[in-house]
Amino acid sequence: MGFFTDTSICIGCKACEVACKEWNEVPEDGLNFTGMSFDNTQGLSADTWRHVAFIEQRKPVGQSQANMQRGFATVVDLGIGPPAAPTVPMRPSLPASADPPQAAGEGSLDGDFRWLMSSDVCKHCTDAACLDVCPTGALFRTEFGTVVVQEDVCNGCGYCVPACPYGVIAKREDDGRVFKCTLCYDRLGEGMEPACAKACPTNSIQFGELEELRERAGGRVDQLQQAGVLDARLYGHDPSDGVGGDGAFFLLLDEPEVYGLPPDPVARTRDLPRMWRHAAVAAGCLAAAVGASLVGRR
Amino acid sequence: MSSSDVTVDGLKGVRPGREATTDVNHQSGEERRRGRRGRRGARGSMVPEAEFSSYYGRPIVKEPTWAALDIAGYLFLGGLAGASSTLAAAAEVSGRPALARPLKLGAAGAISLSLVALVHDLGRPARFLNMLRVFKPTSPMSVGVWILSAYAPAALAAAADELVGGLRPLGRAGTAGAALLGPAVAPTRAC
Repeated sequence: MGFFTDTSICIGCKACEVACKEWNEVPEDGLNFTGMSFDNTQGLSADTWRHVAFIEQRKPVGQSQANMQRGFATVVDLGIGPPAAPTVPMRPSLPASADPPQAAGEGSLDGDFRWLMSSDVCKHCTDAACLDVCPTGALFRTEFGTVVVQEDVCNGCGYCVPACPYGVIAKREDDGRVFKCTLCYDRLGEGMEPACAKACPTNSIQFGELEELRERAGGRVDQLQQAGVLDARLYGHDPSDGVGGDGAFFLLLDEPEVYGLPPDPVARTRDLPRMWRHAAVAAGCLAAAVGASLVGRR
Repeated sequence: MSSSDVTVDGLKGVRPGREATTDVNHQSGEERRRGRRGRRGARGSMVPEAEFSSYYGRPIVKEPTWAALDIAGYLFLGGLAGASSTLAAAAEVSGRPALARPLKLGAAGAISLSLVALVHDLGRPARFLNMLRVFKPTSPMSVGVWILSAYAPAALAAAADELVGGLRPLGRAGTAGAALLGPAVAPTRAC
């Protein structure tokens, strides 16, 4: 089970953040005014398990504002359900001579502006480095394929924190243990969907079987591409990537870096065999050096 | 101004400022490129310089949480103890008791302090023993702790025999065990 977060229909209401905090009793994470944007949450942390990013860009909305109806009204009705093949192009009146969408990327300063919103969450990697390096077994793989911290086992060693390629899991300083999204393990056990997906008013956050979600996401990307949003792409959906595919993947409208996501995440435990070999060589060298010291005069 | 450079110390407490750009951290990219050119000359490679970009210049990966002194102490003292034990056994075998004695005592002291440093670094020190409920080869820390828990009693037995005397069999077993595990202790500290 997992999430498909379709950022093209996210309206940035942060209902997912609130629902997550309420359901999971996540403590307050600082009522800060960042001064950099309207996003005062800033990022995922031990006390923020869903984070809605607000990205302001000098790029035209939907790649070209020409003849486009105001707002995202064309997009909203495409949210859920099995993807129907788009029969009506979204910009039928766009002249053929319009700028190619890619060229419009840089944008100008005279009003080109778009706001990307994206609800970030723990990716529940298939090859989860945090789980691999946890020395207590507090992090475990659930029967739903998600990655969850057992709060009564975690001893706060913090090894998982730098291991996470996405910078998700973090330590709660006053508590000492690490916390992150559980994909609402308790709700799943009762056959309910996670709180954030339940609360999302536009169905930007969709919960379900990964296979089905991937299929739906693929259809959605095709739909957006055909409608002229050439930057639409999936992120984390590929089971052959560095983390074996994400249990929570995304549809993005720009490069992953723009959303604060690593472009090519890798579970760093892939280097373990090499590391153990080096440790063995070092042990051999030490033993040999001590042995050599026995040889020779008294 | 956009002052959201990602430093070694991360971005803690620093706010990027209200004019921070979202997609590209131009300033730091420019500066880095200039610095690179100064060192290596103007003829660069064909590949354009990579520019860091992220969400308002925030680091993508989280900073490690450990205290530098604790973990450095754990690693260094562990290595010191492991190598000392092995040397102590070698000294004993080759008939150098005057060398073996300080090595054994040093190893016991170092491994004790190493353990203290490790436990002190935990967010929940009382739960240290939770690390002994599983053995995971995928976790260098798990392997390290298991080796430590096998090695420390041996090193302490060897030292106790040296101090108290009269514990010959225990002391011999300790010396031998610590000597065998020593080379394992030292390099796994570095993982």
